[in-house]
Amino acid sequence: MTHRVLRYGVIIAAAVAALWWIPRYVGTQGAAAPAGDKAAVATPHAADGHPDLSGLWNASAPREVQQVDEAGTVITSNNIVRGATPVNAERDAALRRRMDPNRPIYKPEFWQKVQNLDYNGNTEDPTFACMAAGVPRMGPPSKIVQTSNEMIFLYETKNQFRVIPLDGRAHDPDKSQDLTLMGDSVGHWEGDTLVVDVIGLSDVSWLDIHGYFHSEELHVIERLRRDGNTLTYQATVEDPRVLLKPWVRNPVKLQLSTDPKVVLWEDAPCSDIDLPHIVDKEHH
Amino acid sequence: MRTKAFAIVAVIALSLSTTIAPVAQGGAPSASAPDLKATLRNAAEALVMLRGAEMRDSISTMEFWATGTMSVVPQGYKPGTPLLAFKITAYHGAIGYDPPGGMRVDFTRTNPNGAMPQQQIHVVAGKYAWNEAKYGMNATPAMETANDRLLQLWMTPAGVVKAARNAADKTKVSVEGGKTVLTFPVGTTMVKATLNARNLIDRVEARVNHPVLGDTALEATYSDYGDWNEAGYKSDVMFPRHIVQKVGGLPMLDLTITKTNTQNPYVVFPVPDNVEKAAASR
Repeated sequence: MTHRVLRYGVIIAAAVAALWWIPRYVGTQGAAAPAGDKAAVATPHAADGHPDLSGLWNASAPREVQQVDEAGTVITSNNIVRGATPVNAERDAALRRRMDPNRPIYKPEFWQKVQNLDYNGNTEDPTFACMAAGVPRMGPPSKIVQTSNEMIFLYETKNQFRVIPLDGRAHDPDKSQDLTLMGDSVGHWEGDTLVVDVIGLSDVSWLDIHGYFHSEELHVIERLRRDGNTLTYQATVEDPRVLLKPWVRNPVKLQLSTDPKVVLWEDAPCSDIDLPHIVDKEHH
Repeated sequence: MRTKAFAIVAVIALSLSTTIAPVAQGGAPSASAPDLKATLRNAAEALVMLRGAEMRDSISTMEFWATGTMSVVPQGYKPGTPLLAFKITAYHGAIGYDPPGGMRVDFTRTNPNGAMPQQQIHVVAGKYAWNEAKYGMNATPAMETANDRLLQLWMTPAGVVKAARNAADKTKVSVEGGKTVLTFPVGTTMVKATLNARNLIDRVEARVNHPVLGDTALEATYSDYGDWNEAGYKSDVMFPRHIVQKVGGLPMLDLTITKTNTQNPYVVFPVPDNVEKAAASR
C-alpha cells in the first residue's frame, strides 16, 4: 500500500513537474535562443567593413515545438488538432503546407507534371529516400563562418556544408557542368547584402515539397542580410526552361543564438524505412 | 497497478490538453439573433475549412470533376417545351481563392444525342477573363465575361464563406424561414446565401444581367456534401456532390461531381500577354 501511494505520488509529481516545465522549456528553446532586443543590437561588422554574418542561426532548437503565447501556452499546431487525432493532424498539416499562395508559375505544359509529382509525393519526392534537398530547397544555413574571402555555410540537416568564394571569381567552368545538388556558388556583396549566385544544379532535386521540379537550367540567387541579431534569407529561382517567370521564394528570418552553450547538432544518419510501408497518397 | 498509474497520468495530460487547446466549437445558428462572426465561423467549420491551432481558413485552391447537363437559355426554348439540354461528358473546374481569385472551367459538351462534342475552356483571374483553345494556352480575351465568371467563383460554397468574410461590415446575417441567410456584395452584385441546419451552404442567389433575359435571378443549389477526394487522398473538406444552377428559374447547369481534389492542388492563372493588352485597350 505504501509502495502504491509512493509510486502514484512519484508519477503524479513527475507529471505535474513536466507540465510546469514544458512551457518554460519551450519558451526559452522553441522560440529560438535568447537573442536580445533586436532594436538594441547593432549589426556587427567584419574588419573589411561588411556585415558579419557569422554565428549560429536558429539551430539546435527543438523542431517539433515551435510557439508559445505570452502566457506560456503552447499554440503550435503540432499539439492541437481537430479532434486531437493523428490522422487529422497529418491531413491539416499537409493542407496547410500547400496553402501558400506564393507558387512558382510553371509553363502550362508542365502544370500536370507538377500535380502528378505532388499527388505522388510520397514516392516521388527525392528527399523521402534520404537524398539531400539541394539548393534552394535546403534553405538558409544553420551556421555561418565568415572570412575575408569566403563564406562557409554549415547545415544541420544531413551535416552538409558549402564554401562560397567572395574574391570576385567567376563560376568554375567545370563545376558548373557537373550538375550537383548544391551546384557551383560564388558570392559578392551588394551593399550590406550578401548575394550568392548558384548554377550547375542537378535536376534530380525539387525546389520545394509540392512537386516543384526544375530543369538543369536552374539559376538560384540567394540573398542574406543581417539586421542586428536577425538574419533574413531569400532565394530567387530562375528556370526559363520550365518557369514562365522567376520565382521569389518567401523570405526566412532567423535569430542569432547568443547562448554559448548551444552548438550545431550532428544530424542522425538517414536510413529510410518508411517508403515500403506507405499505403496511400496522403502526405505525412 | 501500472495501468492505473498510466491512467492517472493520462487524465492529467488530458486535462492539460483541454486547457491549452481551446478550439472553439461551432454551434447551431441562432434563430433570433444570429451573430455574423459566429455564422461565418460555423459555415467555415461545416465545410472543414479551418485547420491548425489558430483554426485558420486553410483552403487556397481546389479542383472538381463532373458530368451532367447544360442548357443555354433560351436556346431551343419555347413555352411548354423543355430547354435543349446538352450533355456534359467532361467538366473540370480549377479554383484559386487567393486574391484576386481565379477559376478555369474546362468542359466538353455534346448535343443531346451525344453528337458534336465541343470543348470550351473559360478562365477568369481577377479583372481578366479569357478563353483557351488548349488548357492554359492559346488565349482569346473575353473581358466582357469577367464579372460573371468571378461571380461563379465566389458563389461556390467555400467562395461564399470567403467573400462574405472579405466583405466585412457589408455582410449581413439574418434568419428567413428559420434558416440563416448571409447577404454580401461581390463587386456590384449582391449575393444571398442560405445555410442549412448543418451550417452548409445549400442555396446561393444573385441578380445578374442576362444577355437575353435581362435583369434576372441566378440561383445555385448545393446538396449531398462530402469529401469526394479519392480514397487515400482525403482532406475532410466538404464539397457538394450535386450542383444545380438556374437562371430566371430555368435550368442552366446540372452537375454530378465525380471527384474532387481539395488538397490545395497546384492551380495557377497567369494572365496571357494578349489578354493584358486587350484589357488595357478597353
